[in-house]
Amino acid sequence: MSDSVGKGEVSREEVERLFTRLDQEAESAGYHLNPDRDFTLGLIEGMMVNERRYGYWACPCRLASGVKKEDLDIICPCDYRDQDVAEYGTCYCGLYVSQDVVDGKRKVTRIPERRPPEGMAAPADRMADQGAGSAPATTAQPSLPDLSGLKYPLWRCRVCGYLCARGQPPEVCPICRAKKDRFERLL
Amino acid sequence: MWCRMAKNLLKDLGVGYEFIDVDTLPTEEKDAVKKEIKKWNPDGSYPTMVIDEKECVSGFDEAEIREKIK
Repeated sequence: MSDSVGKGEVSREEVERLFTRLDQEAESAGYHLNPDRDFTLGLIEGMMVNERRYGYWACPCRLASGVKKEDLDIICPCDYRDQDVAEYGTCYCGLYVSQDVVDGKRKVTRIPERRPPEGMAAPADRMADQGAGSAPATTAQPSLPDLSGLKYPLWRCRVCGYLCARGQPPEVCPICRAKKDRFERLL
Repeated sequence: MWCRMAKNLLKDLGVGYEFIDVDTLPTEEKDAVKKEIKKWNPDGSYPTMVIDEKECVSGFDEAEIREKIK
């Protein structure tokens, strides 16, 4: 833990409280926080510092722009977590890990960045085009059956892939707790 | 956190170093520093460690850092 804990922006008590909450939420949905408690508390502290700085939980291991729309894909849990945990046993930061890591069968190491480089089409841009409240996509993929007659739009959580068919996406993803603005409209 | 671990490792090893916490810089300075970082580490990931203006370690990898600062 850094010197700031206990005397700076974020108190140790606040960090511990969020740790407990995130741990419970993770375990209830089949995710796992890194069992290295001090390391995990350090990352959560970083998220809280970013929340005070930007207003949201920007990933503590990436450089946030401070513009929410541009940072949407790296708000924790990020759009890349599930793929990284599946492939490397850990998310980019090491905050979320696989069961293998929890069981001590696999170690958390540095992993490559899955986020597209700056200047490439960012997932958040696609979100802006297709996201909550925008018009439905009018053209279906040729290989797909015509689903334009569906009664409800189909929403996908960009973080965990949860799908639901309803007028609006849920306020909070019932699986991964990502907020409404992390949903994209598929159909 | 990984940046913190890198700093701690350098401290433990007794190696002199300078650092910039890029996230705390004002926008113009941040852009300039990001460009400089990308020269060494095209991914622009953190921490980026430049050793004697010759070598670079991208991200925190204890073994690689120990090897390169020998």
